[in-house]
Order: sequence, then C-alpha cells, then structure tokens
Amino acid sequence: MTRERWQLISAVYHEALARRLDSRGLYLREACAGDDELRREVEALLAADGQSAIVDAPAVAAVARGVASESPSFVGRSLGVYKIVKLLGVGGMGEVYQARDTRLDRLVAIKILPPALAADSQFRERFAREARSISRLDHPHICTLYDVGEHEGTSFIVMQYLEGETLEKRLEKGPLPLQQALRYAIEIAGALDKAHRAGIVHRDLKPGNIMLTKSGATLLDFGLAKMAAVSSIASATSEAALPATTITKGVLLGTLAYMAPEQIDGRDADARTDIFAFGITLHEMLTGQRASADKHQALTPPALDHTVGRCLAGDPDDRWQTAADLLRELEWVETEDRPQPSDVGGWLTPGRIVSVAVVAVTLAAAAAFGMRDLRAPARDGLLMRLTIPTPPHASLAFGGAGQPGLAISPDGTRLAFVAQRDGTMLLFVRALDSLESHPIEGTEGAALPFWSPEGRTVGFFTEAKTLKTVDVVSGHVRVLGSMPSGAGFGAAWGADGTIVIGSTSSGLLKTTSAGGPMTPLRQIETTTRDSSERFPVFLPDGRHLMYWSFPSNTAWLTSVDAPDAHQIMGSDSPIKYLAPGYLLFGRQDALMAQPFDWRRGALSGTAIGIAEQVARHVNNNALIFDASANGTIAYVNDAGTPLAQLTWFDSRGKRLGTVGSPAPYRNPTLSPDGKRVAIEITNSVNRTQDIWLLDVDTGEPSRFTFDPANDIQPVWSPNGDRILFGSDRSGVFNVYQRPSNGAGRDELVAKSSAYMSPSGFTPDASAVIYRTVVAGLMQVGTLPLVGARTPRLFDRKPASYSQGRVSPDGKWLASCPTNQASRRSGSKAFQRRAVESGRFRGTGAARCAGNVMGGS
Amino acid sequence: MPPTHQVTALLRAWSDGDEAAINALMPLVYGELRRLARLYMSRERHALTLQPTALVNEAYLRLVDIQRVRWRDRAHFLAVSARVMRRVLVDVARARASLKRAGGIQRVSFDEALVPAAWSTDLLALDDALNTLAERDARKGQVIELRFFGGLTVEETAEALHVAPRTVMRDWRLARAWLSRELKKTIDDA
Repeated sequence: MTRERWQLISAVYHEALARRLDSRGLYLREACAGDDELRREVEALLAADGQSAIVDAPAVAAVARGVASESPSFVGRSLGVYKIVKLLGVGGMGEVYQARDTRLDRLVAIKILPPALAADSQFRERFAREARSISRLDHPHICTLYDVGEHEGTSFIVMQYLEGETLEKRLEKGPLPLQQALRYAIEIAGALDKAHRAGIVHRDLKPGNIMLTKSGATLLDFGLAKMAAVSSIASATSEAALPATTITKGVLLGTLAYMAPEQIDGRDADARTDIFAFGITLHEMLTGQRASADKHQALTPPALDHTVGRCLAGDPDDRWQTAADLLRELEWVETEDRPQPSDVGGWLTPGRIVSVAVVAVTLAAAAAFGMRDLRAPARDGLLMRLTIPTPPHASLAFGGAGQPGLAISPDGTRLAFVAQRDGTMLLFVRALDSLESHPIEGTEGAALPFWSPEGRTVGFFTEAKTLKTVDVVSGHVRVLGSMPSGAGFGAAWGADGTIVIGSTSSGLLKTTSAGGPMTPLRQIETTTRDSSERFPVFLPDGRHLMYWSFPSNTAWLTSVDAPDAHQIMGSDSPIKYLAPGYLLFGRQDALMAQPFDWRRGALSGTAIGIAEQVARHVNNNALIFDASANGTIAYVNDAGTPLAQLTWFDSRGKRLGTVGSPAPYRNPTLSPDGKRVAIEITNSVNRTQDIWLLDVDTGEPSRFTFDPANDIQPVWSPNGDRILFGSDRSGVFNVYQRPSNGAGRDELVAKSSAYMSPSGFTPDASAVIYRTVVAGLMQVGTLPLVGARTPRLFDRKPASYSQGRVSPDGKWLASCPTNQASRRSGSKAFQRRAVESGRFRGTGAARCAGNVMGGS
Repeated sequence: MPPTHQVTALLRAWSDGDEAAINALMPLVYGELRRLARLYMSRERHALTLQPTALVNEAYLRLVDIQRVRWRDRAHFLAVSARVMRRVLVDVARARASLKRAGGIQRVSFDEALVPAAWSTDLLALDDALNTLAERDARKGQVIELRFFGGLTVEETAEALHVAPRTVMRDWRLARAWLSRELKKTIDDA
C-alpha cells in the first residue's frame, strides 16, 4: 500500500467518523464512488473502531497483572504455627503477609526477611536482640511485635494484624479536619512517649507507617529502620543482599521528606529525630502539605502553630525535648479548640444534612425540558440553581413535631420557609438576591407557609391550629381564625382573597383573607371520594385548583365553581403547577415535570427530572418543594452542599480545563497573579464555611481560615498580599483580613453591629467595597483602610446591590442592583456608578451574572 | 547492579543508534520493571489503578542518574523509555514463543512472568503490525508506541511529538482501529 493510498483511507475515515451514524453510508457511497476497495477498507476500520483493542490498556498494566498472577511464593505455606494467607505488601525489609496463627487462631502480619540477610549470623543475632526490646512495648497505639522466628532457613517477624488504611493513603484524599488530626496526633505522641521511655527510637516515622483503624492511629514498624540500618552494614559485605536492602533512590526520596536534618547528615538519631518527623506528619495531616526544617505553613489555632513549629526546628536542641512535653502541649491545644456545646447539636436528625436549594427556571428552559431527561440536565445556562444556607443559629424544620414548609413568592423573588430558632418554629423570609434570611417575629409555631397573590403577605398555620397572615414588609401579624380538627394541610390564596385550606378528613375548606368561618369549599360525597384533600394549588384562572389526596396518593383537578373533581394522576407527593404548562410532581426523591394542559386536566409527553435528592417530610412523606407562577422552583435538598468543579473558561466561554477536584466550593476568586484561587469550602463536620487557597497549577488545596464560625467571601488585595473575608465569629458578619501567605492572625478590619462582608477593593488598596444590609436590602459602600475606617454607604435606593467591584481606573463601581420592578429571573440589569458622585447609570443590555457559581 | 551512569551511557548510546547497547540494558530494565510491578501490585487492589507512566519512569529513575542525563528534553526521554519498554516486552514474548516451539521445558523462567502467556502471541503480532504501520505512517506508529508501551497520556504524547492533543487522538483512533483489524487477520490466518 502506498503512502498516498493510506492518506486517502485516513482522510475518508476521519470524515466519515465526523458524520452522524445515519448519514455515514451515504457519505461513503459518494466519497468512494467507483472505488469499492477503499470503501471496504474504511468500513472495516469503522467497524473496528467500536471494538476493544489490545492497545487499550497500557502494556505495563498487563505486565503488572502477569506478575500479580504468579502466586507469591509463601502464600499457602506454613511457617511453623503460622499459615500464610495472602501478600499484604512489599517493603524495603521484605514482603509482608497476612497469616493465621493456628495455635491462637488469630490473624497476624508476618514480615519475611530477605534470604540473603537471614543467612548472616551476625545480623540475625542483633536482629533478635532488637526485636526482643520492641516486643516489650505494650501500648494501644503501637503495633505489637508478637514473635520472631525461623523456619527452614526463612527468618520472619510476627506482628499484630491491623485492619484499616495507612495515613499516607488517607492523605491522598486531602487534609484531615482539625479535631481528627489532633486526636491522631495525641495518640501517636503517646505511642512515641512510651517507646522513647523504653529507649527505642522509631527512626522512620511517616504517614506510611501510621495505620488508621477503628480504634485510632497505630504506629507500625517501630525500630525496624534501625534493623534495616544494621542490615545495610551487613549487605556491604554481602553482594547478594544488595538489591533488597539498599535504600533505593525512589524510596529514599519518599522518606527523605520526613527525615530530620541530623538524620540526613548521617548522625545518630534520638527521640528528637522522631519529634521532627512527627512535626512533618502532623503538618501534613492539617494542611495536606509537607513542611521542612524551620519552614511551615501558618496553622491555627496559634498554639498549634507553635507546637508544630517547635517540632520542626532544624537544631534538635530547639525542638521539644521529649514526646511527653509534646503530648501535653497537644492535649492542651485540643481542649482549647474543642467546639463549644452551642456549636453542635441542633434539632435535626444527626447525619442529615439539609439545605434549601432554590432553582430558578426561566420559561425558555422550561420549554426545553421536554427534550431532556434526568441523565442530561439542562445546560446552556438556562437553568440556574443556587443553594441558600440555613440562617445562622437556626435549623431547617421539615420533620418531627412541626410541619415542614417552604413557599416561593408568586414573582419568584422571595422564599418563605420555616426554620427552628432556639427551639421554636419561626417563619423566615429571604429575598433570593440577598445574603440573609430574616426571621419574622410574631410567627412562632409557624407551619406550611403560603403567599398571597401580590406577594406581600404570607399565610401560615400554627401549632395551636390557627390560621394567620403576616405582612412581610410591615411585620404585621393577623389572626384569621381557628381551624377545625384535621385542617391545615396546606393552603392556597386565590386572586379574589379566597383562601382554600387542605384537610385530612373534611375535604377542602375555604375562608377569606379578611377572616371569617371556614366552610367546606364544596359538598363532597365521601362515599365516592377520599375526603383527605391536601395541599391545594390555584391554577392560572384563579378558579380551578389542584390538590393531593393522601393516603390514596392521587392528584386531582377541581374548581371553586363546581363540585366535581377529576383525577389527574397517581402521585406519592403533592403536586404544583409550573407555567407555561407543566405539572410538577415527585418520583422517589426526584422532582419531575411533565407537560400539562390544566384546562383539560390532561398530561402529555414524558416526564423529565428537574431536581434529585429532594427532601421528604418525615411524617407524611410529602416531597418538600414549591413553584412560583413565573417558574422559580424551590425545594429542600437532602444531599448537603452540591459539589462544584472549578473550571477555566476563555472569554468566549470555551472550556479549557479544570482546577483541583470537585468539592463543595463557593465564591471562588482568583489571586491577582493568577496562581491561586481563594474559595469557600463547607466543612463537612459542622457545616460552616472556611476559606481555602487552591494552587492553580497543582489543584492542591490548603486551608486558610480555621475559625469554627463561618468565614466567607474572600477578596484579594490588589497586589495579592492580603485576603479580606467576612466572618461571623463575633456573632454577626464583620470584615477580617490576613496576609495571603497564611502568616499572622486574622485581623478585624472594621467592627459593626450590622452585617458586613467584603466585595472588592479600590485599585490603590485604600478602601474596601463592602456589603451590608439596610432595612432588609443589601447595600454596598466603601470602607477606607486608612484613618478612622469609617464606612460610607452609596446612595440608598429601594434596591439590593449584591456585588460591588471597582473599575481598574478607580472611577467606576460595577454592581448588580435588583430592583423589584425591573427584576427578571436569571438576568439582572447591570449598572455602574461613579465612585465619587455615588450616582448610578445603567448600561442597558449588559447582563450581570453576579458571583453565582453553580455546582456541576 | 552497575553504577547508574553506566546505565545512562547505555541508554544514550542506544538512542544514538548503538544497537549493541540494548543487550546490556535489557536485563537491568526488566529486572527493575518486575520488581516495581510487584511492588505496585501489592499497593493497588487492581492493576487498573496502576499509574503506568509512574511505573515506567520510576524504573528508569532508579537505573539512570537523571541529573547526568542531558536529554534533549523530558519528552525525548519518555520516548526513548517507551522504545526500551517495547524492546524488553517483545523480547520476553519472543523467548516465550521459542520455548513453546522447542516444546521442551515447561517451566517459565523468572522474567518471563512479565509477559502473560496469552498476551505474548498478541504482543508479537502487534509488534509486527506496528512496524508495518510505521512504514506507512510514522507518526501513528509513534503514537501507539508512546501510549501503549510508554504509558504516556494523550497530553504527554502530544508533547513528545510536538503536535496538538487533538491530533494524537485522531491518530490514536485510526491506528487503533487499523491495528485491531490487522491482529484479527493474523489470528484468522493462523
């Protein structure tokens, strides 16, 4: 075959591949007209394309499998009373096997020494002596050496068998939470103390030698490094022993990182050598990164920074002199840092992590839904999801004694929900564009909120079986009346002031927003229909409504004008209507949407998934969600914070690559030099946010803030030397700062009794743009960093301004106002204003994406 | 084990065209490869989680004093590594095949365990097919060599060949399809 021929085949092949499957045939017929040989060749290649090939897995993988399939020489054999079960690992000192002690019937770990070593009588003698002293170490966090033995020329060590993973393996997943790292550190320091008192130095302390088991951290291979050292002396006289015992370059590289300077210099190791290695290990547990002598990342709390710093002193005389001192220090740090009881606990079932997720769906997106299924979530930016954190000192209530509830206002801009504060159910309202949820006083005991059509008043039930309304602007609470038994399972507020209430036994009831008696909406024939009619929803004409029947699990369509009802579908959860024509319902934990003609009460097309992991009420199993007339859907997410992936895009929106691994990131901001990203990460233990710095090249995260409170909204100073952030460590969010290299302490920039968080810097670094809340609206202002640091707000208009960034020339402030009248879901008018004059000018068609970062 | 600079010299001599050098080099490489493969297998539950590049690189790092190597660039080093790997594995497969032909000794020697029996026939066929492919389209042959024998990623391959990753993917796809077809032919003919 000529090169030209091959190139032709190649070109036709690639062209065919680029075409859709159904048009390939036609293409090939045309491209290969009169050249059947070419066509056969390309078709054969296309056929082979989908099949597996020998080259799919790298050759080395097959080699490794081949090697692995050789049965390791000792498996199945017996060494005296020990029956070898399987190979656990291969180390510098030989192979380690799992074995069964047939005499005591327990699992043990057996290390088999290389034959060349075992043949050296001088080595054997020293080895046995060393092993005897190690076997006397009895400590819960030291792997016990049971026995040394010899069987038909094979020398071996018998040790405690531990089930778990090594710290090295664990650290591949990232650093440990502070409390856990401290716990392990205390256990290891205790083990070191015990050994040092017995005159035994570990010499090779590193994450690979620490096993994490159910009962904590256990130190492996105590003193074996010394034996290895002995062995290398032996090997110098024995050529054959060389490959097994020489510290190889690769191994040395791995261990070097934990070696104290004096050890690298070849001087003798003592207890302080272990303390150095301990410091490196603890630093890695906390930060995920290796420190070196006299050089480490700043750690908080400061006491811990001091503790680790002193372990890492280059001169052994400057370190902690004994493991006992170190242990005491660590125990003190742990006690100081332990979270206060008020930080933990709460009302939710332990382990259940809940956040309110609000999904804003534009109408265009809803129309496109018909073509998508669960495996292909909406892309193209039409679907916007944002997660609203539970208000500080409150927890979401969706089970237990209270009724769950959340309601999205008809215009889709505000969310009303019930959360528990200090043991009491309370209604909270949050504008979706603001950062805070506001408790509505006077709504104690609230359940199942619902909005008035104009979106100013929220109706709700109370535990005392009354129906109330509250004006969310004035805060005025009004009692509409008390309810008959069984009533209060959801309500809908009609355009004419009619309020329809769900009940478990009397069918739908009605009253008016002015109060008055609750009467049956219509006569129902209990013999023909389930009288449990719950969670009514008005349809666009304000006359028709839908409701859900439980326990029959059916959804119905009815009207205030007619007594009959028509079953729409079976549904194990309440249903809602989503304009312009979708029915929302639940399927297991997924929220589904299906095209729906409400005038005919008929579903069409196929159902597609909108959200997964939607929480259900623990009592009646109803999925907890709501939808506004304009298409915003809110639901309670039962999966914790969604994972986000930091991704590079060019200015045209082309995806370039990712940074780091997926994590619950929020608010990423790039350092001025483009090398690091400051992000908020939700702590999986106490659910608060911390700021982390992510290395753009390696994706390696390092923790930046350590306070147990929320640390949010990182902002880099113009030259990148500092990071400002908001923190609620004093009870309310204030602005703090710290050098970006991690050194030093968090400094309070300005104290305020109102919410304050940073949003940007002026280019000359003389002032910070901050956000605060005034009369329930987010406002932006400047906070000078020089002089008296008196904050100054820009002009206060009846709008929220969620972000503030200053132009490079320092003259303009870009912000995203969210004016009630002009608000549209998903896009906001972008405005700018002169920093000096404080007046806004609109920039027309520009879109403002704010700082929303979606999970993916 | 000879000093590392000796290995380095051998590797360089071979990459400069001294075919004799590889004879001295091969036992060293596969001895080391075998040790490492075993070590990795003991660490990893599945061979699938192996990091092939890491394994190959580690083998060379131990043998070669990387400081003394004045390779044109890292990519060139990886390319030579991949070629050595191919030679080593094909050589073992050939030895296994001739043993089988000789019909005598059933025992497989220490190093031959590197290449699983079923795989060695395919490997020899692949080596032949790869030579044919390289005559026709040198770059596609290199893409297979680098990715399959060298364990390089698409990006590393692109770097070594000074082409775009997209080109590597296109070459890979066609070469892969062509090779599977050639190997199938060989089996059908046999």
